[in-house]
Order: sequence, then structure tokens, then C-alpha cells
Amino acid sequence: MSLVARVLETGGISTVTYTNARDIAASAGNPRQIFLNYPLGNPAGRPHDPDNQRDVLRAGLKLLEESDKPGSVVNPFARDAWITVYRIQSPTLALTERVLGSCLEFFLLGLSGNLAFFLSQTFIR
Amino acid sequence: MEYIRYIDKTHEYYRSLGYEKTYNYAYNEDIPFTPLKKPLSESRVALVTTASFVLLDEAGNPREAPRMLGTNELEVFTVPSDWPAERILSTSEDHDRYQTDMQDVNAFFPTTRMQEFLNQGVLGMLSRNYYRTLPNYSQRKTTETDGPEILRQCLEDNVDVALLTPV
Repeated sequence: MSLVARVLETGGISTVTYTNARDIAASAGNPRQIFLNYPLGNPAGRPHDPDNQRDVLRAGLKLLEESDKPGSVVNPFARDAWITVYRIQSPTLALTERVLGSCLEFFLLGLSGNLAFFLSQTFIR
Repeated sequence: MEYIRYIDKTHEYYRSLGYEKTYNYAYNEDIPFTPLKKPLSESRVALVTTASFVLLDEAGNPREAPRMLGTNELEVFTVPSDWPAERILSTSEDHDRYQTDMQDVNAFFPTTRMQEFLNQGVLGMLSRNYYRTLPNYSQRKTTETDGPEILRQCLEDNVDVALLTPV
């Protein structure tokens, strides 16, 4: 996407790129970058948080108005800790879900087996 | 500030799979730059994304088949800028579903927010169309084919400013 930004700037269109991967955009030589330290896939803000999304959009417009040199990177929410949550909790959540899922499956299999046995015993008599 | 170094991570990953050659990320020293020509309240603004989504018709059926990864063909898709967010369906399965939520397209394609800013007069005009292109391993294709096509359509539509949201 930074490569598209470069083509547009060369053609006379001002751009700002909202990113979650700061290093990739910077390496490509992005003209203006609003970096959100959020998981990939959320370059325009947090899902279901319109206020945050408005702040993000506004930060990019401000950068457009104020930047006078190429390659600036602004992180408007430097203290936003979403990425920390992402890095610590995500694998744990995945593991927890897998373990719970297996337990539930085991329980249901056992339950259906018992039920079948119970029914067969009841109706055979 | 701490943030994830995706370039290092992918290099590590490629190496762990036994590849000696890692993906060559775009690297440029020179950076093109066009200063803002007029106030945003007088500018015509476009949105460009790499998000994978399809537009739904009024009955809620996809108007096209989802396409996820880039090919060698020209791949620039347009979305009318007044297309309602409720009729955009994300088809990406690449993201961490524990952390993010593909239901709210405004988290990666802020079309509702742009409409609001237009109504408040923050933005002068919206472009006729927004643009979507697919992420492609070929940097040459993006630089020589898809990028110039987006530029051509933007210039034809008198776009002053483009907001970009890679996913």
C-alpha cells in the first residue's frame, strides 16, 4: 500500500497511510504514516468504537495539514495498550479454548453414550 | 515505544521453514511528497484500501465472488463512496479472530466516518469512488500496474487527497 501512496504522491495527490505495521511502511518509504499499535487489520481504529475511529481519522488529517517533510510517522495513541493485550492473551486464549473444547467434547460424548445406554436399558425392559 | 517488527518476524518465520532467501520487503531511501494544496474543507478526498471484501446488493447477496490474493492481472476495484457500510462484507480470514472483528468495516475501511466528516464540513468533497486493490507479492505489479491505475482514476475524478488503509 505504501507503494501506491508513493505513486499517488508522485502524481500530485497528497496521501496519509493508516498502518498497523510501522516497519513495513517506513521501509517502503511511506510519505506520511499514522501508526496505530493495534493488531493487523485495524488501521482505521478499534472495531465498534466510533469515537476512537474519529480520533484516528482526525489524526491523519492533522498530519496532512502539518507535515512539511516526507516520511513522518505519528502514533496518536502511544499509550494505547491493545497490542500488549494481543501479544500476551491471544495464545493463552487459543489454548484455553482448545482445552475447554476438548473437555466439552469428551463430556458430551460421555453423556450421549450414557444416555444411549440408559435408553436401551429402559426400553429393552 | 514497543511495537512488533513484522519484517524481522517474517524473516524469522521464512528461515524456520528452511528457506534461505527471505521475502524482500520494499525499501526506498527517497520519498515522494506532495504538500496539501488547499484546505481539507475544500479538498476532494478518496479512500484506498487493500482489505478483502465484497459489496452486497439490496437483498444481501454478494455482487461478486471474493478474491483474496493478487494475481498478475490489473486488480483495481471501485466502491461508490456513498455505499453503505452495512452492505460491505469482509471476506478476510487472515486476522486474529480473538482480537479483531470483521463485522465493523469502519475499523479498516472508515467509510461511515468519512461521510460524517463530509457532513460536518471537515472534508470538502468525497471522490466518486473509493478504491480497493489486492496485496501482491510483486512490488513491480503494484508500482507499475495497480498503483498507476488508481492514480489515473483519481486524477480523472479530480482527487486532491487520498487516505490509505492497508490491512
